[in-house]
Amino acid sequence: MSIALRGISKQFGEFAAVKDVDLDVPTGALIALLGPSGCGKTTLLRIIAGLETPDHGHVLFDSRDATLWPTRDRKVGFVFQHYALFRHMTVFENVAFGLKVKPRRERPAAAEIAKKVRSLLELVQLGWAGDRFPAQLSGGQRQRVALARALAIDPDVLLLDEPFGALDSQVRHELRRWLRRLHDELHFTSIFVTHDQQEAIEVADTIVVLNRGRIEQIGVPSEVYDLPTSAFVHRFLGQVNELPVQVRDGRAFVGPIDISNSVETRAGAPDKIALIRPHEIEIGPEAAGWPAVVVAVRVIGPIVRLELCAEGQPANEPLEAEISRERFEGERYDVGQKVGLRFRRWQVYPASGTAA
Amino acid sequence: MAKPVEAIESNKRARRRPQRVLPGFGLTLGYTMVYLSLVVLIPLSAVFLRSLGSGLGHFWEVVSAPRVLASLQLSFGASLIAASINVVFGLIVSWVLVRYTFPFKRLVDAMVDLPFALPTAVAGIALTALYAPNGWLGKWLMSLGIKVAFTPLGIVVALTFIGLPFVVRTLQPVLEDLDKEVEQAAATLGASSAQAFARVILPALWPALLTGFALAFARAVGEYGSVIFIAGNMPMKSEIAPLLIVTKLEQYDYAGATAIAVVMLVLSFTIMLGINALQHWALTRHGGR
Repeated sequence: MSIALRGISKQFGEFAAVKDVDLDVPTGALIALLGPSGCGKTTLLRIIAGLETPDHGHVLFDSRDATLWPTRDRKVGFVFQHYALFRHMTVFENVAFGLKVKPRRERPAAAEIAKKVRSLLELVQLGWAGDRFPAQLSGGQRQRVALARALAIDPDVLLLDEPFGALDSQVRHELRRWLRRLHDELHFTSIFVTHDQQEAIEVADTIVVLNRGRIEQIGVPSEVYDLPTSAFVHRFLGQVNELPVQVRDGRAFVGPIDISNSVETRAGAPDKIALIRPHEIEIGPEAAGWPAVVVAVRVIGPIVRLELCAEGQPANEPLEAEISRERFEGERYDVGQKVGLRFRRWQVYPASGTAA
Repeated sequence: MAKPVEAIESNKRARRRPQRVLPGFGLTLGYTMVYLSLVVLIPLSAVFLRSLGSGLGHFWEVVSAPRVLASLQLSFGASLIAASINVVFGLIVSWVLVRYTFPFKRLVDAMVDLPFALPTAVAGIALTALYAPNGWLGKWLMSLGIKVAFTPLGIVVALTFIGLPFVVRTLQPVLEDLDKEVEQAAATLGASSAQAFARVILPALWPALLTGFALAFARAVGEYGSVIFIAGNMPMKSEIAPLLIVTKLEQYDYAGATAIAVVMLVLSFTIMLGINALQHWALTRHGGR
């Protein structure tokens, strides 16, 4: 089923959670709503599920207006961050719930329900846990029960609200891959909310970046990461170094590095900043770039993060650069060593009004 | 060679006296036992001893008298009915107080405590005035052929009145803690509000409902002040067991009074134990606890 949002706004008291949002989710897509807390992503998801009513705008399910449909008629599977399992029911009863509450004429026979629940529990690799209570399971297992419960009603759409937020990183990584595989097998339309850019990039086909109740950018993960349309998106999708752009004699510089060909340099143009990701900084011999001193070296598995104090930059705001472990093994940078910096890529944004 | 032996020795000692995380176990347990003995156990055992003072035969004679049996039946029966009524309506009251906002909500909330605070005699007189055949409500009920004051029905009314806060105050915190997301999950799975209430909310409330029931029931069994005004106190019809105890005391029949007291005690304790067992069962149904 495809979902479309048209001019959705929602206000909580004085706080505008969602402002005039338009969004199209085609059938079978796996979309991530990404943004910092308070950006309206969860509100948007709850509006799609019918758990909130928008103040303005329309929700379309397959181009039928579903704005005022009650939640129970929407056939959306919803997975909550904190699982929201029924504690007094066994895992089996939890998964069977959606089938047992169906009106009598639609309700499958008990044997059929049991069969379906068992196959769903197999699907989430919890075939052994049917008789357990939720309290006896780990966080990752509980979230898989919640998923099986949501899938039991054969939803047209699966909505996941920070589904892996409460889990430790190992389990989170596993569940992400597993969700992706499940989606590829079952082809339902899925929308999931996250504040974790890495999760969004790993799992989603399309990322919708939200900020202060509005959509900042929509695109495939590589596009949003490599070609952010605003400083906010650039900052939110990964580590960045921020440097002021100085204009001298009709040319633009970051430190001593000339970036004139990528920026408007006419006099009176507004102030600008350059955003450079750590892996876009090239480290070479001192003579060959912006002179800098290595102030910290941290080996993080396959990558090595260097903190660099560049000439003319405040000492308490060192630049971060990342190089591969192999590079590091060859060059052996040490704290105190003098190097020269160059930038492989950078992007320039207006300096004002960019604060997230 | 000495060292390993010492190590084993200290190991043994450590195993024999496991370290507790919370200090003061011995002290607090001792205090609890002494306090319970002084306040509960010794007075109650005195009642037992006193009741048997004039022999088992006399004891049996007293408690098997038709008038005593009728009063015990009335006391426990009316208390059970009143506590059951309170469970239903207390649930509604606490639901309204927790789930909705409305004008004067805090005032309504405070009103729930009135039966706690009011001297029970005041409550009894007020209810009697209201439900007497010539009272405001009694008049109308009379014309419908329902007599409340001076009948067992009046006793149920009084016991319901004094038991209400117990149910409401036990349920309120539990309702407040109830995870709204669980209800929302039920809605996304296609459950109607009624289904969500019956299958998801009510099971979570069972332990608290049972506690509220037990408290309201216990209070009702022991209630005296409010009942004697509205009951009419006719032997075999509307005479409660506590009143019978007082009557016997006034006639200096201490053995008889304590005999009835012992029966009430044993019955109450048995019922409380049963409710506790039910509650334990409901809690374990909650999963692995």
